[in-house]
Amino acid sequence: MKSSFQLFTRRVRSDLFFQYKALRMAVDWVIAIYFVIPLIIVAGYQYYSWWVTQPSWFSWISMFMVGTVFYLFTWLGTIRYFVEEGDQLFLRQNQRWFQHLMHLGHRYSLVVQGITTLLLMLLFLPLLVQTYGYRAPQIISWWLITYLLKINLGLLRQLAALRMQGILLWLLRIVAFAGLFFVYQKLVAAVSQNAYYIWAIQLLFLLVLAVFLSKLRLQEKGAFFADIARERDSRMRIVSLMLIRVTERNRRPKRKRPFLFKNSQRLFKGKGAGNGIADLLVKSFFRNGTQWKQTIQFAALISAAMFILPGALKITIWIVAACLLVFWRKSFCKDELTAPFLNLFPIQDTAKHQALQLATPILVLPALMLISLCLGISFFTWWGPILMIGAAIPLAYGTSTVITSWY
Amino acid sequence: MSEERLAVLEVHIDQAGYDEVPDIIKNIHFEVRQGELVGLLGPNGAGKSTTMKSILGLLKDFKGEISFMGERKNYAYIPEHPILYDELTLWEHMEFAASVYELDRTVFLERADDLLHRFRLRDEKHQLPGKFSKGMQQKIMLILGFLNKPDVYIVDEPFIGLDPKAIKDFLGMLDEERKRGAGVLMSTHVLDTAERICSSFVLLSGGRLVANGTLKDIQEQCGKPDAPLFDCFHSLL
Repeated sequence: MKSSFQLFTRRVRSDLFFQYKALRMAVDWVIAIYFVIPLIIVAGYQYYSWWVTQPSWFSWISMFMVGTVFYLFTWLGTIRYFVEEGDQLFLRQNQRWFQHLMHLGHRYSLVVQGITTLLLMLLFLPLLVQTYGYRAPQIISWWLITYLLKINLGLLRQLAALRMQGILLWLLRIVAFAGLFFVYQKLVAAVSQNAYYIWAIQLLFLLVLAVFLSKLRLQEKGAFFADIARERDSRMRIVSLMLIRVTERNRRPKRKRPFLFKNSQRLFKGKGAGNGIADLLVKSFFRNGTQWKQTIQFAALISAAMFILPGALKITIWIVAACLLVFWRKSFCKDELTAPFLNLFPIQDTAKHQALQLATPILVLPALMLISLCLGISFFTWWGPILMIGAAIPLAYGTSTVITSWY
Repeated sequence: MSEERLAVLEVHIDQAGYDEVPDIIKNIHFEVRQGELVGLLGPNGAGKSTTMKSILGLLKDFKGEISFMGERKNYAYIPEHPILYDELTLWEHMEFAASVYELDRTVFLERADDLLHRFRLRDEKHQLPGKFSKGMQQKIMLILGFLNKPDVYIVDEPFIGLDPKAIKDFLGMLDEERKRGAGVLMSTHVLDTAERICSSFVLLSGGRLVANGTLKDIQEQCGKPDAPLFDCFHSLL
């Protein structure tokens, strides 16, 4: 390796090759020929047809919905630096090379983010141009606002994660996510109007902020191991989608003592392996940050739907949500039951099945209660919340009994 | 004296291995008797781990017979590398083991307290072991193994990661268990310790049984009476 630039290009090539191999794992030639390629052709034709004739359902899509999709997109992806664990042996001693590598990684990420944002913009272009009559300056302005916000968010998330941990970081993310959602919608609304000077101010502010945060981030001390962990996650993003259970296993709680059941309280007092395993499953679930996060996202989405959907559909979605939660919990439990620790013990499948049946309704209840509460509130009667929370319990146990009747 | 004692584990491996090489180990036959500590020795790649896995029933390609002959026909396996469950506290690991072994509650509480005291982990009992040092994690594996007081202990490289005090405690507990009548099969590379504590040895090389018996038997076999195990080991391989 003659220069840090060569090192960088080699790492990018290696990453791209790795992602290609990961995709090949999921899509072999048979799937590509019979599914993916026809799908691309159909999607391409469909996209072309949107330009030729505007579909009637375009009018159903509000700017608020488009703004929401773009906003969710700004929270995806990350800024990468292409550092590796082995760099601590030699490369970090050569600060000039190491810093250059990080700068190149940073610039590369900015380009990638710009391109992906542009692709999203192009996807929505027929709608924006034909239905909402957007012109080139507005589209470019929206693209730049989304792109710069995405970069700023990526950098801010990294800087925040280096300064705080645990629940504080989690709360900050929730507040930032909710707060910026409304800010972004305002920015999008401003783009719809032809107020050029407002666009200019917004873009200038986001640009200055991005430059400032980039400098701050690239000069940050003590970020090496966090960068390595992020790099590993980024590299494994396609693989982890396919092998989500395998990668999920690789988690280490950062706390010394658990946040829930601090004194190792027993949850199932009965004797026997079934109770012990059920205890393990329940604690494992409620102490798992990822499960909490995904459950809150799921419950928030379904709860929001309860206020939008008509009456009969609400009840259907409520029951479907209960079934989905049970399937999800069952899948989680079955995955946990394959943990290497359990292989140390001679455990019969009947005990595992018993534990699954004991634990599943308990794991389903919190999210289902929240959804049921929102469903009850959406009836706008005093008895609605009480009735629906009461109904959540038999629904959780009923669906769990049916769906966990087989192992 | 050991001949009078009952065998608690009989190992008859005709052939075992993996998909690519189904006969990594061949014709390995030995037994572990009550109160015996059998050292499973051999250089890297000799087949010790494959033998262990065969005994634990973890290999698909296995021909032979493994018989646990003790009163309860059970065993405890203490792996070389700690295998723990990240979301459970130390105490919950013990509770879990007790529930799987169906231990009486009073017996469990008594044993658990004694083991935590012996391995000096009482203050950490409600902590998640993910943050523990390797040695502390290994102590948990020992505690989980000793909790059930099984007929046979299968111990893989127990000295790695343990501090001298923990090794002494561990060996002391193994002695107590042997006096109770448990048999121990222990894989190790630490030959001087093995020579001092093991009552007999199974020496493997290249997936085959090279020698089996007491130190005296092995000295005779290599033609070096009074030689230490280290010398015998090298002359037989």
